Amino acid sequence: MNLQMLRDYVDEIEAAPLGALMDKASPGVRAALKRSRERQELTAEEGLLLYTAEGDDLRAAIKCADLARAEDVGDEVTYVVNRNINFTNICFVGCQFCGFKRQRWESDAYDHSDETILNKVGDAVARGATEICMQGGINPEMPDFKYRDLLRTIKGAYPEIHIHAFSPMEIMFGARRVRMEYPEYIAMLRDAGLGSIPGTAAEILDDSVREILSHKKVDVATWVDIITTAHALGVRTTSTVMYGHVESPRHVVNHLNLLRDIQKQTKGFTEFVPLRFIHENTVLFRKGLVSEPPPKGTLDFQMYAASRLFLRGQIDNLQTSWVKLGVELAALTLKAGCNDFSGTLMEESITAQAGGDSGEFVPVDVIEDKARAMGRVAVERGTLYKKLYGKKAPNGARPITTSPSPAHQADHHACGGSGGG
Amino acid sequence: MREILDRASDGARLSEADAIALIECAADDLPALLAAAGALRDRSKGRVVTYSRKVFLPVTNLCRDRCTYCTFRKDPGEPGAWTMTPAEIAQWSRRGRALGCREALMCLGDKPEVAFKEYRETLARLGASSTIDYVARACEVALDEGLLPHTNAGIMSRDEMTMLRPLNVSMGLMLENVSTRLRGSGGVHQWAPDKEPAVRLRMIAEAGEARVPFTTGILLGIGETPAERAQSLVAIRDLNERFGHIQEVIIQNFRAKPEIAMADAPEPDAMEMARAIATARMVLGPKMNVQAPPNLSPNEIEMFLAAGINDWGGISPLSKDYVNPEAPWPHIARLAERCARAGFDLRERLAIYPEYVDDYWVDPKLRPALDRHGAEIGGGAS
Repeated sequence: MNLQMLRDYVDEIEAAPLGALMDKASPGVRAALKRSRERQELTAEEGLLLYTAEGDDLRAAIKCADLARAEDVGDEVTYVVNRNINFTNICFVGCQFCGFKRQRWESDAYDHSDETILNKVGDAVARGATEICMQGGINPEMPDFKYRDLLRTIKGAYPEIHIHAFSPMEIMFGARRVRMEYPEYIAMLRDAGLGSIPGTAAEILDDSVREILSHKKVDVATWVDIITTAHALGVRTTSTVMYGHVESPRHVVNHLNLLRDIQKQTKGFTEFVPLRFIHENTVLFRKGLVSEPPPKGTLDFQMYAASRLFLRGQIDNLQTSWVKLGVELAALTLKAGCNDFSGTLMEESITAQAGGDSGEFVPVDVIEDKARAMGRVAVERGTLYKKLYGKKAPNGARPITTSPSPAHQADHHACGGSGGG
Repeated sequence: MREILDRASDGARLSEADAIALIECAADDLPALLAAAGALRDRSKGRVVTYSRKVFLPVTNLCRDRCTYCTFRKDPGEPGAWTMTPAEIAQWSRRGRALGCREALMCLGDKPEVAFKEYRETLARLGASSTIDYVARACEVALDEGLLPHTNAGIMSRDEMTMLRPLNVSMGLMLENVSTRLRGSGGVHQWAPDKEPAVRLRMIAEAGEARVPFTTGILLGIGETPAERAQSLVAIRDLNERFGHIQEVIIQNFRAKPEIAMADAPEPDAMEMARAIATARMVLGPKMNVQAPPNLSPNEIEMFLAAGINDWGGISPLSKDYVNPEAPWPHIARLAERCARAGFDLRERLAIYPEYVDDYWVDPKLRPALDRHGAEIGGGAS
């Protein structure tokens, strides 16, 4: 389906009465959706039915996801004015889905100086950013307390900016490097100014899948340990999934189930961010471990609708990813359960390096226009989902509404990001 | 300029360009504009200026819209957030009635149930399926207490207006302005989906189809240009030509309040108000009831009369103006004195103008109460 057909598809679902769509759904899907309408928690089996729903079943699921979104978080579409900074692309992990990482001797390897990073932060603040989203490669030559010191450097110069940084993979690496336990290490980062942690490096939380994707990467138990430790210390995190590669639908649903269980205990997740696998420049694709993924559309609607319904009552905010899907399709997912449009980013390179073609920056006025075109209202939020309605932190200027100068488009990655981080 | 005034005075229909020329006229031409508007008013309304004794019932101040000039709306849980109980509505209605009020103004936020889970629970506790369903109950309570309801609940569907019609002598919705710019980035209605001009124009049209005597108007000082004010007045005139249901047009000025986002915004001055009032009169003709709120411009009573108004709107001896809480309504006796000094007779009217009291516009169930009130205020007002 092309974009216009997808637009017609979601519009028809929105216009159709719930009862008519439910009547056409198969009995199993109808029963699951009915239970969701009554705010009962879906089982993993029901989650699987919804994630693999097609045809009339998928239409009914999308309808219910859109209604649940409206009931649980309202009609406003939130976004954050942020800047991504991928401070280095030097990385030894070797994730097979990544097109971003470089060995240190490669000509386009980089490791930003403090000065470069401060310039980027200063530029972002001047353009109205409230958040710096910061992740990088896992650089074996990193100074021991690099992460802590980066936080101190930035917060020293810009005390009011919210720093959303360091995936569980980076936390694991950073803590091991200085032989600290996670509670001690995360508390140290928190006290140095870490505002929240991206729940990236999650990919699919299944060790057998992770073995294929990246055998050196943080394992499931450690990922959960770091995330729940952060939550216990009052550091909130996002949650993510990377879908559309070697995983099976069952893996995705188990992943959702694990996130939902964590949330029941900690209430520490701010949002859930499904991230479609971008295959073009990745080892996975070149080696033939994944075939050409399905065209954008159905799989993404399945993902967002099932996530909204499966996580209902636990994780309210469902973020679409314009970086992965493109702005136009991302806008359509606002009618399939999503309520958040992610951030302006200003620079993004992880997805771009993997072959993504959505660009690195979306100005506020584009987000506003896309929301309006969907019959919704865009509202700027802070990282922790406080809606701003024009009230910024004292240092926050008006949000940027024009494209950045070419100088700002030089580098890299998406928060919540590539699934990489 | 002179030519436009002459044509309008002769009963011609003004074009949008005419209306813009009037509202943007040179300072030297302003006295002529005011004089023509005043004379046009005199031709149909004479030197009578009316008001309605009302009790303001803020059924709920929760609202899904966030207009940056608003101090009325609250979020659930915010200090001052309030949804009136049926007992409160009855109690306020009774006290209002005891003070001689005849109108129950149901003035509330727009569709808060769409935005707030907490409010949906409130509605469920109150046994209502929607805000409008609850407003219907509030209207029944007010009617039982002897008042005539007038509902202004933001955007309502045709079905909702039909449902409320047997319980309301009239309804209202400020058009505010037809400018879509105000919904853009940095505009006052950026976060107010119900302030989409097309949506408001459609509802006003549907009110006409549903045979609801209707109050609307424009709001000055929300980022609109004088030309856009004129265009909004023309849009109201056009709607009234189609349905004949616009019983009054309010020209309301924005008042800055310290706690709002627009605290520093300039308030429209008296001359801008006078221009808009006079242009409204010239566009809308001698028969339209043109209203300006007296509490928002307490020093301009005489100027507004000169510019062509014939109504002061609702004045409450009991409840404050919840939308402009800093601006007390004038004492009615004192307002009457000032009008008299300016050569005008201040008279009470009902929430429906006498020209609408007939079987086409009024549900028969409302007639007994309406006729009783009409007889009490006398003067063939109903």
